[in-house]
Amino acid sequence: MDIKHFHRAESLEEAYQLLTENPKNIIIGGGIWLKMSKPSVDTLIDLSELNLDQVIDRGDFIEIGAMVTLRDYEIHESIRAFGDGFLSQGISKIYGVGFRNVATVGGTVAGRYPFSDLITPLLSLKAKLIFYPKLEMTLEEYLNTKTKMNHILTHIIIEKEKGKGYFYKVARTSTEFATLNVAVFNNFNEIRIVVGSRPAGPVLLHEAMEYLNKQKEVTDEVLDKTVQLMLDNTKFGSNYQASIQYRQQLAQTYVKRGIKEVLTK
Amino acid sequence: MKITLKLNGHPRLFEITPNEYLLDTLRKNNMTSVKNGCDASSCGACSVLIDGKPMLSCSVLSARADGCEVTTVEGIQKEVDHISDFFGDEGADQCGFCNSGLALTIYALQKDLKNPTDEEIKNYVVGNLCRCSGYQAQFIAIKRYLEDQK
Repeated sequence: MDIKHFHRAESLEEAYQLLTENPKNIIIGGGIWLKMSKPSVDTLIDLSELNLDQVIDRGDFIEIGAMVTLRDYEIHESIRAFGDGFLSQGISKIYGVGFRNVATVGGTVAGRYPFSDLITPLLSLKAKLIFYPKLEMTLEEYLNTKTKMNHILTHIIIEKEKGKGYFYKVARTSTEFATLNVAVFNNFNEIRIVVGSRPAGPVLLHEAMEYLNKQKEVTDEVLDKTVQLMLDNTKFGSNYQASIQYRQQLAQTYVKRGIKEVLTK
Repeated sequence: MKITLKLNGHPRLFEITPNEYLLDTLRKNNMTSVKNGCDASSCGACSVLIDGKPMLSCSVLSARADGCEVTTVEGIQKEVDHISDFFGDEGADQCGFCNSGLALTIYALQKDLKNPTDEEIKNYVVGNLCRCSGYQAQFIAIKRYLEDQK
């Protein structure tokens, strides 16, 4: 890894100026994957002095600074309370606390890591990203943006909805990436379903959700049809962890379990 | 570039390169209790406390730690000796390579969580891998240590 300069930004304006003046300048999040990505960097821009490390409950929504660590996110009272704790539970299964004290929410989201156990449950919520300079988009829009952005992610906003959530990471140990992860959230008006680590990144199952949310009662037949719509409209793949067939089987099982779970009181 | 760390309670100046990790800075300066295991954020052998929180020093750039308080086992020797007693009693030690990182994480756990459940203990230390002893004896030793600290 080649890094010529390290710069602790004193303002977002300064960070943005540095970021846009040279394509070899990059923002550092937690820095966990920096070593593995072996970048050639001119200036590494650090945001750790810009007060972006707070989780703030604003009443109607929760504001999460991009530099909040996974551990601080996991143990925050409002995050723990959300959806019966499914956001915290997902994070608590990522490596050990020494890892979660380094990795950041912003670094994970900005990196669009397909295996992320943070992004999958977040995507099942009404989550919005705030960038500098002035730009907002939903998390889903951002994940679908394929081009490199020169904006700086500063906050993630989660609308506070009452409801019940479910998250499951399929992995043999905590120190490996998810073979598949599933999040389901029921806000008592509609159910949202997300499947991630397919091994491609997390996606909302729009067709399956549309069908499911029109049903008056969730029977076994309805669950079968829901997961069939998932299979018909969602791409799964094979990699060193699992085959496409195995992932499809896992997804059917855990999506059904998730729906059942969020429907129980 | 130069950084200042409050290392085990004492301010110290270090000359580093921008791509240097804290693990390497510490080991270069004779803090060899901080072990280089996987060097890929996976094993926990390099754990240190940064401003009181356990972190993987192989994944923290030294430049980013500038101005922080860094604690290794040398900085909390008395507490580490106490933790080691429980490990010895339970036969939870073999080669000892993972001990420094694990002891620091257990020390932080004890400060961080009040009356943790078994699940919370496991989630806290799961990133500190041990290739010799198996985890059951370690888990019992940790529980006995936490009980003793009440």
